[in-house]
Order: sequence, then structure tokens, then C-alpha cells
Amino acid sequence: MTFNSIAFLCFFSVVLIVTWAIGADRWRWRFLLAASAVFYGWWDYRFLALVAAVVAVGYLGGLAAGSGRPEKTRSRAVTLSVILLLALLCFFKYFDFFTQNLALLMPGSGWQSLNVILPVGISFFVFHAISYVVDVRQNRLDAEPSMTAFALYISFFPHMIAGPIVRATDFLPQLRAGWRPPTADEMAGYAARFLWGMFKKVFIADRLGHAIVDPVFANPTEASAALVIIAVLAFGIQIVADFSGYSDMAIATAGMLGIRFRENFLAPYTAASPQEFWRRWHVSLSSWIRDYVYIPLGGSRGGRVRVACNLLVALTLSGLWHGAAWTYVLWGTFHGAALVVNQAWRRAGWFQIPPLVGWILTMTTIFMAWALFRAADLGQLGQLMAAFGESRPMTFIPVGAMVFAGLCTLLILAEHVVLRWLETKESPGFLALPVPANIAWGIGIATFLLATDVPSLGVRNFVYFQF
Amino acid sequence: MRQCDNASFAEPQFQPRAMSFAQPSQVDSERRDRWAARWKGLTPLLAILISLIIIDVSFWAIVPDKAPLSLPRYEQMAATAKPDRPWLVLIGSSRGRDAVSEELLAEELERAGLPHQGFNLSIGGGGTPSLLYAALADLTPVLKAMPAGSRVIYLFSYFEMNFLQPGLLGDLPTGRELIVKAGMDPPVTWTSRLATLSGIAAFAEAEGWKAWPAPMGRLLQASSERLLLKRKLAACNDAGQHDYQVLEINDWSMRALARSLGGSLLIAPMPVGPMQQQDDADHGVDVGGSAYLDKFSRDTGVPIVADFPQRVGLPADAFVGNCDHLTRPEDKRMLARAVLELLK
Repeated sequence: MTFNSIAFLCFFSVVLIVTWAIGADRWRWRFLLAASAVFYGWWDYRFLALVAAVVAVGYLGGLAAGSGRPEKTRSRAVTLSVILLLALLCFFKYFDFFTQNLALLMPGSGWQSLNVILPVGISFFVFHAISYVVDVRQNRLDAEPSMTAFALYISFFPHMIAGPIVRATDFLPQLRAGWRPPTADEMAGYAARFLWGMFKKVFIADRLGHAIVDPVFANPTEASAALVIIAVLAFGIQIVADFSGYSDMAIATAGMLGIRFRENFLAPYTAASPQEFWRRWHVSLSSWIRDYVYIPLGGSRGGRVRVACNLLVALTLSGLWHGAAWTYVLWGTFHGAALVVNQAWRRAGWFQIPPLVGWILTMTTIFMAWALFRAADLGQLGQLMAAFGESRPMTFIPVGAMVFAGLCTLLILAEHVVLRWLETKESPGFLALPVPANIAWGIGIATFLLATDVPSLGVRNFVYFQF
Repeated sequence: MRQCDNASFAEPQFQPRAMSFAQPSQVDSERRDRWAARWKGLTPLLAILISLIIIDVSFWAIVPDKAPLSLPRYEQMAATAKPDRPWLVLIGSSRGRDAVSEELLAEELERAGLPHQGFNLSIGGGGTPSLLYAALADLTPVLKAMPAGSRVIYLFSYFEMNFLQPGLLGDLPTGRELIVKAGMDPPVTWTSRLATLSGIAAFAEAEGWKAWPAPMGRLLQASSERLLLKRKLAACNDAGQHDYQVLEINDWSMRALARSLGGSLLIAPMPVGPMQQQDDADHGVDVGGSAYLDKFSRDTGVPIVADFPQRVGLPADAFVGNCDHLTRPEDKRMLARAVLELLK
């Protein structure tokens, strides 16, 4: 069940009404926990056991790492919990990748792939649990005594499958403070935001993928150099529409249920440096990597070489987090290298790069990296890159597809401009319109999506579901 | 450090409060107010829902009538054709479309001294062209009203018989009806489910926006062929070779075509190159295909010119492109002349 399916809209309507109707908070949270189990079990109920295991490890780890216990016990508890959680993640996500590469390196080693099914959203809910245990150990948060509350934090359906990665320090206090239903103002904003996210996903991302990106990446030996460039640019628009669309829907869904999430995308394509890009792109992941990988490694303390190594390791791990494939590792390393260069330049202090030049350089880097991200494997990437060295006939591109790509780019740019403008108003996030304007906006988007037959396109998963 | 009061999960405890001293009606009134204030938050969703229902009803006013299936080229032909001269209409797949242009046809007709007006309505991209023609013949009067002496020549490729694309067909205004008529399950979508209940769904169904924008055809075709076939050889012909079968819907459409066009229809297999012939033989496509055409001819009386490829006599190097499309002018001319021979 994904946000862009009819099944989800029916499911969510029921969950919304019941959540609002329940009087006592403890029953409300229990109901939301049950609804989250249904949501996840809809995909594959067998993996609910895995979710339960993550909840158990995180919950017990949190209790053992909580304040009031001996320091040694707390440290051991957090180490053990993190190892167990990473072991689960590594087995389900990286075991086959590891064995396949080992078999390539040592053909006679006997390692064989187990064809492990990747449970949807595992990277997200494992990261939730890890950050919770570490936060408890570092006294940022008290251990949660209620199993229901903790289980809801891990499995709350708006963030469970594809983020955003919500910190326990943001989530659990909301449960403890008691349910605060959204006002009519907020509700109108959330409804409009949900529909805008849906628009970005099903109208922009899915159609761009279908019309331009997929055909090129499925035929890497036939696409001309110009076509490869167009497809990579289109993928850059597709992925921001897809993932920020998902984040909009997740934030709105949670908000309608009375739980507030932080922003996950802050106009990333307006960044004038790689560093700024990572402050704006998938904020919940980049801040997670910063807090739980980069800073523990030493962060920006130490010499230049040490800092550069920290950046490279953090970003490479970020790439590996996205998927068990060399293309993701390369993508992360590429970004890490860009950050190292960026930092070296700033430290050298030769001269300030003008913002426009910085933006062009940053976007060129980011979009080049998208080719690594989208390629299925290194072989496909090589075939695509070969287009720049050999003569291939330019394939006819329907005018409609190019016009559509241009239109999508303009819409995403317009959204970025609005988000930047909101930053100057000290209210980053979604545009706060009056209730009638949000209602009209929502009606307009919904009518457009329905009349253009979007629901008939079939449900296409979000790009980040695979992570 | 944040204080953990865990209020939400604490067991309810009895606490004497000021409320105990309030009048019951006052308590009820406060409770009602709180309840109403809470539900007021949902009013924007209700407003959106009600507005959508109203818009949905109003959409019925702009739902276009279901026009008969039409192709722009077909309409153009109907508009430009002269009623006093017989027609020569070529139908079939992209092989025929690319091989014989209407200019070439007109030139050769004039050279042969034939009175016919030449039209080529062949369709590219596979997708069961016979069904489209059957629909045309069934739904519009133009093909039925052809002047005396007219001829429709179906340059037939075996792969067409199971190159069915229900999705493509379902996009056509009457495609779904045809699929149902042929006893098959149409692709079910949100709009097709609700097209009789919802104005927006009916509008979306009639306008068929879901296919917009068109993807890059050749690349997408290559992609789908690869997925479908996992083979390198002449992919578009290949569509029939692994699971060759005469689909019901194709058979239905071929027979509908025969009924509509009567004696003016003639079927001629398109020539293919040696590589494809060998592959056809290896997979029994030629045997299966010609057996089907023989039966079809016996049942309907439509003549089949089975030796048409030999009559054309194209050299082996004429078939170098994908799907055995002809590219050289001299080969195209040979094919056009052979087609005109069929009129005699």
C-alpha cells in the first residue's frame, strides 16, 4: 500500500476518522500502532516479525542505556543494541551483495547468495531505532517506558516505509504531551500539501520516468549522448519530485493525525555548494549521518586529511545506505569527494566563488552524480557513458515529451523559489495560505489529477521504497 | 534533559476536581463544545470532498461523446478520395507503411494505367492492426462505401496475429468495447470502473490522458521487446515465435474485417529476409501462420496470395533493417509493382 494508491486513500480515511473519534490518548496510540501494522503487513505480513524484533531490540536497549544505570552497563547496552540492529540491516540488505562480490573475488570460496528479500523500509526503521538508543545513551532523551509508544515511534506508518527519518526527540515528546488535533487552518494546509505531493509524484515523477528516463536507461547501448544528458537531467527532476512528493505526503499524513514532522527538503536545487546541497536534500538523512556517523568519527575536528577522510567515509556510507550496489557506493563517494573539494577550497580562502558560478558548478556535480544513482549497475553505466565516445544516431524525442519535461522543470523551480522565499520569512516549509485558498488549491489539484486519468496509470512505487 | 511524564500512557486515576461541583448540564455543554471544536478541524477535508462531488457531477456536461474510432489519416483519406474512381487501400503493419508511400503508389498506378486512387493506411508499432481496421470497417461507413472495383490489400505479417497490446487498445475510445466484444478481459482502471458513475472518470476515460506524453517510441519499443523476448534477432517479428497462437481477438477482428469488406479484401503475406525466414522455420511460425491463413480463407472466402513474397522477388540484402523494413528505393518500387500486379 503506497500513498499514491486508492487503497491507501480508503485506509487513511478510516484511520483518520477513528483517530479523531477516539477519546483517550492511550487508545489512540494503540489504534495507530495497529493501523501501522496493517499498513506494513499489507506489503508482506511476515516481515512484521522483523519490525517486532527491531522494536524489541530498541526498546530493551533504550531501557538498559537509560539514565540511572551504571555507565558501563549503559555503554554496553548501546553497543550491543547497535550491533544487533546493524546485523539485522546487514543481513537483509547487504548479505547477498557481500556474497556475490566475495564469489567474484574468490570463485571457489563456496559463498552463495541466499536471495534474501529486502524488507521494505528496513533502512528507515533500523535507523530510527539506532538513533533512539544513542540519544538515550547521550541523555538527549529519557528511555521510553511505554512499549506502545516506542513501537509506534518505530512503525508509525507515515514515516515507516520511506522516511523522513524522524528523531525520537521529536516524536516521543509529542505522544507524552498528549494529542493535539490539528486546527482547521492546519488541516487545510495538510490536505493541500498531501495533494501537491501526490501531484509531484504521479504527474511529474511518474510521467517523466515513463516518457524519458526509463526508455533511455533500459537501452543504454542505443541512446545517443544527447539523449543520455536529457535523461539524466530528467531523472534529476523526477527524483526530487518523487521523494519530496513522498515527504510532503508523509508530513501531511502525520500532521492530519496530530503528529508533526520536520521538513525534509529545503529547495535542494538552489544550493550554491555541495555542502549547502546536503543541508537541503533529504535533511533527515543527512543530519542523521552527520550526528551519528560524521561527528562520532571526529567531524570537522582534526587536520585536513582527517576531516576529508571523515567526509568521505560518512558520504560513502550514506551511499551504501541507499542500496547494496556499487553504483550507490560510487554515488556516495563522489558526493564525499565533492564535499572534500568544497571544504579544501573554503579553507584555502583564495577567493569567494560568485553564487551563480557556485550554483552552476554544484548543479553540474549533483546531476552528474544522478547518473550513478539511476544506473542499475556499473555495466549499464559504462554503456551509457560509451555514448559520449561513439557515434550513435540521435533518437527522435516526441515534442510532447520535451515540452512536458520543460514544464516539470519550471514547476519544480517555482516550488524551489517559493521555499527560498519562505526561508526569508522565518517559516521554512510549506506555504501557509488562508483556509479557503488551501481548499481551493486542493480542489484544483485533485480535479486535475482525476481528470487527467492519473489514477489509471497504475501505482508506481516511490524511488526511495527500495532503500 | 526532557521531563518524562508519560501522561498519555498512565492509567487513569481518580482525582476530585472542580468539575465535580459543576452542574451536569454545564459539564455536558463543555464536553459538547470541546467535541465540536475538535471536529471543526476536519471541515476543510469535508469542504474538499463536497466540492469534488459537485465538480464531478458538473463534469458530465463536458464529457465528449464517444466518437467512433478514427485515425486522422483515415479521415483525410475519406475527405480527399474521389467517389468516381476505385480505391486501392493498403493496410497492415509498419512494414507496409514504410515500404510503399502514397506518392510511389500513385506513380506506379499511373505508370500501369490503372484508374485506382492509392491509399496506405498501414499502422506502425504492431498492436493488432487487423483489430483497428475491423473497428474502422465496423464503426464508420467509409470503407463500406468504397466505389465499385476498389481493393483492400492486407500486407500481412504473421507476428501481427499475436502482437496484441491490450493497454494500447484500451486507450482507444472504443478499444475497451472491442476487447469485451471479443470475449477478453479489458484492462481495468479506476476510470473504467467508474466511467458510468463519475463525470470526472468518464471525462478522463474519453480523453485518454494517461498515455501523455508519448515516450520515446523506438527506445521504448526496443525496451519492451527485450523484456518480452530476451533475444537479439529481429525482435518485432519475433513476437510470435515463442508462444505462437492465434488470439481470439485477432481471429475475431480478421473475420469482422472479412465480413465488412467482403470481396474487396485480399491478403498477401509480406516478404521477410532470409534470417527471419530461417528463424520462422525454426519455430514453426511459417507453418502455423500459413495454416491459419488457409483456414481463414476457406471459412471466409477471402483470397490469400501465399506466394506473394516469391512474386515480389526481393534480394536478400533488401532486408537489413530492424523488423525487415525496406529502406532502398528500388526495393520499395519492386514491392509497389508487385502489389499492383495483384489488381490484375
